[in-house]
Parts: sequence; C-alpha cells; structure tokens
Amino acid sequence: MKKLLIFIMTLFMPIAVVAEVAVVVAASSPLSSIDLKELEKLYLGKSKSLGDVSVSALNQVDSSDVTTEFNRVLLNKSNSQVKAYWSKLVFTGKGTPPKEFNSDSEVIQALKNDSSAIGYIDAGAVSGDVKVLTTLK
Amino acid sequence: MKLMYPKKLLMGLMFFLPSICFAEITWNGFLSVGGGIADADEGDELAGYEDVATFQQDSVLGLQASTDINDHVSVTVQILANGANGFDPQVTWANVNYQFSNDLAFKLGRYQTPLYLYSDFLDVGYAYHWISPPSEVYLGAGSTQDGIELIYQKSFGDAYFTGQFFYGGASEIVESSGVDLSVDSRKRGGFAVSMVYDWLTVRAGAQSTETSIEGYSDIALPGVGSVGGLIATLNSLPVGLVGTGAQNTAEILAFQEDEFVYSSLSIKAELGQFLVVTEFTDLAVDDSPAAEQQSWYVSGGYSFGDWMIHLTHSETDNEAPDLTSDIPVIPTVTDGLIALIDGFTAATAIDQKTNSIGVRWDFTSGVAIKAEYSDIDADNTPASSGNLFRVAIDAVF
Repeated sequence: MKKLLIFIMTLFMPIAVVAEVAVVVAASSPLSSIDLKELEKLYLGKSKSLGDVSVSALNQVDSSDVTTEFNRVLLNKSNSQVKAYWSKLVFTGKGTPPKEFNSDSEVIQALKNDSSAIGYIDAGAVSGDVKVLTTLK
Repeated sequence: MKLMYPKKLLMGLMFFLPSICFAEITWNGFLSVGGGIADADEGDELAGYEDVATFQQDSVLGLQASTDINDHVSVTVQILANGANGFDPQVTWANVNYQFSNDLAFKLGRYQTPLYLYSDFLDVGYAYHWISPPSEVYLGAGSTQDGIELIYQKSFGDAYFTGQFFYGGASEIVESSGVDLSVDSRKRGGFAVSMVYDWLTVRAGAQSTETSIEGYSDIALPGVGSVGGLIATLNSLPVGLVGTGAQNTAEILAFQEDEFVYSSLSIKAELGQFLVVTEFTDLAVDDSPAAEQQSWYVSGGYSFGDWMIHLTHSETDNEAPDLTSDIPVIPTVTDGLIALIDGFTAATAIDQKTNSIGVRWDFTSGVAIKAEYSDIDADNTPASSGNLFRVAIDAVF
C-alpha cells in the first residue's frame, strides 16, 4: 500500500529532477571563460571556434536529462526541435551535428583525450579532469 | 526521374572509390510512412489520394552516406525511394564537396536544387511541421540537378548568413495527360540567400532555366489528334490569309528552350512556442505554352510539450498564356482552332486554395507522428476540390 502511494505521488511530481548543467573543457584547455552567445553558435554549427580558439563541440544522447536541460536553457529548443534543425542541415549537406556520447563519464574521457573539445555534463559529475567554464540552470 | 550525365558522374565518383573504401562512412537516413483518404467533389482522386485509404503518396525512404576523404574533401551520396514513384530508388545526391574554409564550400555533382525555402529537404518530413509543405507552392518544387554549387555560411555578429549559388541542369520524366513527358532543364542557375537573426529568418531566391519538353507533341487533342497535329495544322494555314501569327503559335507549342524564371521570398519567425512562416513564389515564362504562376502560403503553429498544432492557408493563381491573339478569326478556317488552343492553354492554369489544420506529436527521439486535414478548393479542371485527411510517421536516424 505504501509503495502504491509513493508510486501515485511520483506521478504528480515534476517528470525529472532538473539537472544543473556544467559546461566543461579538459583541465589542460586554453579556455578559461565563455560567452553563452558564442557557445550557442558553436552548438548550432554556426561557428567552429570560441573567440580565437578552434573548438569541437561534444553532445550527449537525447535520452539523457542533461541534454534536455542543455538544449532548453542554452538553445531554447526541445530535443526534437534540435534534431529537426540538424536533420535539415545534414540532408542538405550544410553541416554535421556535434558528436554524441552516452554518459557524463564518456564526455569526460573524450575531453581528456582532446584539449580542443568542449562538452557539458551534470554538475554533480564534475571531476578533477575537467574545468567548469559555467553552469547553466 | 532520370538525370543527365549519370555516366560521367559515376566515373567521377569512382575516382574517389579507392579512398572511400578505407574511410569512415557516416550513415544518415530518413523515413516517412504516410497514408490518407480523400473525399473529392468530382472524380475519385485528390492530390494523389483516393476515396479509400492509400499509403504511397507521402511515403519515402532516404539513405545518405558521407565520408571525409581528407580535411577539405568529402563525398556524399543519397538514395531516395519515393512511394509516389512506386519506390523506384533514385540517386538524389552524389557530390564531392570541397571545403575551402570554415565559411566557403564548393560542390560538384548531383544535389537538390534550393529553389524555395523547403525545396532542398522536401523529402525530410521530420525537419518541418507539415506532412508535406503546401502543394500550391511545392508541387514539383523539389528537384535534383547535376552541376556545381557554392555555399557560403558566415556569422555577422548575431546574424547568420547562408548563400547558395548554383548552376547546372536536369532531365526528368513526368507523366501528364497520359503521356510520358521528358522535361529537360538546361542552364539552370540561380541563388538562395538567407539571414537568420535570433528568432527571425528571411530568405530570398531566384532561378532561371531553359526548359524543353520532349513528348509534348504527343499530348492528345480532339479534332487534330495531338499537339503535334495542331502544330502541323497551324503551319499549313496559308500565310497570305492568316499572317504569321499561326506559325508563331506553332513554334511556341513546340515547347523548346522556353525561359522559366522562378523567384521567391520567405519570412519565418520562431518565437518561443510560436512559429509563423510565410512564402511568396512567382514563375514567369515568355513565349511558352506553360502558365505563369503566383503562389503563397502562411502557416502558424503553437507548440506545447511534445505537441504542435498548426494552421495553414495556401493559394496558387495561374495565368494561362495567350497563344491566339495574333491569329485572325476567320470563320471555318481559324475560329475552331482558336477555340481549341484557348481551351488547351486554359487547362494548364489552375487556381487553387487550401486550408489545413494539422498536429505533430514528437513521441520519441527522432520520430514524429502527424495528422492533417485539408480543405482543397480548385476553380477549374483538371484540379479537383474536396477534403483530404492524412496521417504520417516521420523519422530520422
């Protein structure tokens, strides 16, 4: 009965606890600050650099809460709007979306291997291997 | 659809094959499965649908493979199987892309012509809110061509500019009036420029082409047998009696190297949960049996969660060419012919309006379900009026 009650209560709670998103680079990255407008352009394929630094953007899979939150806060788009945006560019040969990773730890690993990359992870998953440029909420 | 120079194109691609075999290939695809049922006022077909549910008209599968040969050169091939074409697979993209810099790229080979706002991704239903963009503007507005294309994309402050400049040609088979017509577009060149500023997109484009139609003379006409028979009859009229007007009309009816000029302007606003998009298009022709066309639509949508509801109004207003004003009316000699020609050209001009209401549901990542109800109102035959209900699933992978 108690389990059922908890189950029913969860139905009326917000769908997911909203994740805080940390925008991160490798600890060795030359980047130390970030302009959110420039980050938005980078993630929409409208630029390939931040300031004068050439950067490749890393994404996480759609099913992850941190992706949903990142798309909502930074790009002001739902996951499907982002996907529709990229499918238009991919199938007209005008762009390639950021590479997708399955988890926060995969993003951290990729950043360790590539100091010119930038990614985002759940703020709770930040480790000493990465440097937090800003937190989105 | 058959295109020019396939052999040359294939040979060009084979040059790159050895490197492709060892390179990493990125696969992308899109799939739409659609079905619908029509309630036509006259006849039994409306926009390719019948009074029983059918599932071919809006169904399409596309597969795209692309690979980077090196930092500057990439190759893309896209194969499309379209239900309206009996799922006969066509190569819609096959090009080599040379990236000069972050801003500037050059394509050589086969690509989709960016005629109007949705033209170069007309088959990718997932990328827009309708099941298909308004037919008044987009019927026949998605076409692939062989040639070159220059793409320039650059940020200017908060504005993002995209410019496409293209030149080439295409040849496709179109079935009309029970005859297979081979439509040849040569010297097909033009541009599309767009500027995105925050929530606002403005786009303008133009294209000109020299169009010839082989098989046009086979179209059946009462009394003279066919368009070819009409041309022969006009040429046989004595110049001393009817002047040169009849011969000029005969020459126009041959449909050779007619200049078509397309132009368009569109504005799209994406404000939070609201979407408004409108587009105006114009087709101008000179000395051609084809009709001039002015078309436009406006569409508004509202998103809530994974749902979107949208309303669209679209119109096309065509003007039939005047091919008979230079032929003097002479009873029993030219009057019957003039009536025949005027009737024939009038049938090429369609005035049509459609009101639609639709819904899109993004029910899981990369998959959308859509339903749309349209009220089509056409002024004259061969177009038909009636109601159309369609459903579709669009996916990208």
